[in-house]
Amino acid sequence: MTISTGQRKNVGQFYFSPLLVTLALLLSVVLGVEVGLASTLSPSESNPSQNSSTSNPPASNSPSQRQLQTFVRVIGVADGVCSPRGSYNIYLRASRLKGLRCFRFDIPHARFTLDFAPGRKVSESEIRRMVIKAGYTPGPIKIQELPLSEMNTFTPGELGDRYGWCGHKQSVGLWSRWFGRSNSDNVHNGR
Amino acid sequence: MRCAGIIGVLLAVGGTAISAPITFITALPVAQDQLVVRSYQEGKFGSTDSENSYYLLFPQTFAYGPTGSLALFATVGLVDNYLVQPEATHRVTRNSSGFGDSLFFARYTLIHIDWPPDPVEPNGGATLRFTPLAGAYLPTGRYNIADAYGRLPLSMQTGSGSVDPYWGAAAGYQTADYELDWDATYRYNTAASSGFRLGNEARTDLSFQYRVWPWRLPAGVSDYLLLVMETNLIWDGISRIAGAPNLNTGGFTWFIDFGTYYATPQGTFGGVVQIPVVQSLNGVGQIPVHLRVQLYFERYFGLPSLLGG
Repeated sequence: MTISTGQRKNVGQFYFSPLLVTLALLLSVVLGVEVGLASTLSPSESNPSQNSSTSNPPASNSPSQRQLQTFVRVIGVADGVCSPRGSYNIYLRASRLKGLRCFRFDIPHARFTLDFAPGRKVSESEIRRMVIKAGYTPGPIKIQELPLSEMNTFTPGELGDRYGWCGHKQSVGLWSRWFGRSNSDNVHNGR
Repeated sequence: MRCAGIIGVLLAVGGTAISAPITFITALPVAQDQLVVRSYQEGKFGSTDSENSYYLLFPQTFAYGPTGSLALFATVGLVDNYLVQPEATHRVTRNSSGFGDSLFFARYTLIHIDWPPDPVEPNGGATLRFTPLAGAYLPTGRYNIADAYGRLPLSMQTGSGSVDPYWGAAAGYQTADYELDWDATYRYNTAASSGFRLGNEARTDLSFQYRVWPWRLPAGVSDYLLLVMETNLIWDGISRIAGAPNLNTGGFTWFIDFGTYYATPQGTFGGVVQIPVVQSLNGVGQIPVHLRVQLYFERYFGLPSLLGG
C-alpha cells in the first residue's frame, strides 16, 4: 500500500483556484493567439492594401499595363463544405494566397469566389492545392480575367455577404473577431 | 462513477477531440495549420441518502493540424470536487482540486469522402470521415489526495497516477442540414504503484445535430443554430486498491444528452444537459450521478505552417 495521506489538511484551500486559473488560461490563449496571428502573416499577405499601388495603373495599351487594368477572379467549388466553419477553413487557406483581395463563399453551392490583385497570375493547381489543404475536395474551378470595375466590393450588413471577407482582418476588436463580424475599418475593396 | 476528475477530462477530451459533438471531441474537424481551442465548463451533481457530491471541471482542448490528414490533440483540465459527508455531530465538506490527468493523442483521417452540392437543389456539400486515433493520458492529476479526515474516496481523486495508453476511432457524416458523429475509445490504466491501479475505461458516444436556424439556407454564409441529441455509454473497470481488487469500484453508465449550439465561421458555443438513464455501479458506497451540465465555446485560429505551404 503506497497511498500517502495528510498532504491536504486545509479543506477548501483552493476553492477558487481552478476557476481563476482556467479564466487566466483562456484569456491568455484567446488574446495571445489573436495578437500573434496578425504578426505571423507576411506583409504581402497580411496587408493587401500595401499592394494597392498597383491597383490604379495609368491607362496604357501595353500588355503589362493592360494586366494592371484587369484582375483574376477564381470561382471554384469545394466539395464537402456545408457549414460556416467549413467556409472559414477555406478562407484561412485562401488568405495565404499572395495578392488575394476579396474572398466570398456561398454555402448552398459550396462555392468560393476569389479576386486577386491586378497583375497576379493564378493557376488551377494552386487553387486545387489550397482546397485540399483546407481539408476538402476541389470541384470545378473557373479562372477568368475581368476588368477592374467588376472586382467585388464589400457592403457591411448585406444579406449573404456578411461573411464575405475582402482584405484581411488586422485590427478588428476581439468581440468582432470572435463573432466573425467585419466592420468598415477592416474592409479593403481592392480599388 | 469512478474518478470524477478523470471522467470529466475524458468526457471533455474523448468527445471533443474528433468531431463537433458537445460531449466528445474525437471527431472535431481540424484543417491544416489550424488551431482549434475548445473550452469546457462542466458541473456534475450526485448523491446518496447520506452524501452529496459536486464536481466542477474545466477541461481545455487544443487541436492542431500539421497536415490535412493528421491532427494533434491536447487536453488539460482543472478539477474542483466537493463531497458533503455526515459526521457524528455535523456535516463536513471535503474538497479536492487541481489538475486532472492530461490527454495527448494523434488522429489520422483514414477515410475521407466529400460530396458536391445537389446541382438541382443546392444545399451545401456533404462529407464523411473515419479517423483512428491513439495517444496517452499523462498523470498530471493525483490519485492519493487526503485531508484531515483521511484519504479521499476514489471519486474525489483527480488522476490515475500513471501513464495510460488511449486509443480508439471516430467517424462523422456532415451535411448542411444535419450531422452524425460517433466514437469509441479505450483507456488502459497502468499501475500507479504496487498497490494502486485504476480500472480501465471503455466508452462509445453517438451525436446527432440538426440545424433549426436558418430553416432554409440563404445565399452566402450564415450562422447556424443546431439542436443536439447525444448518448454516451461508459464502462469503468474495477480498480485495484491496497494491492487487491476493490469490488466497490467501476460500473456501467448510460447518458442521454440534450443540447444546442450556435455555430459561426470562427467559433461555436453551446451547452448540453446529460441525464443518466442507466447506472449500474459495482458494490456499495459509490455515488450515482443525477445530472451533468456542460457549457463550452470553441474558437478556430490560422497558424503559420510547420511543413510549408
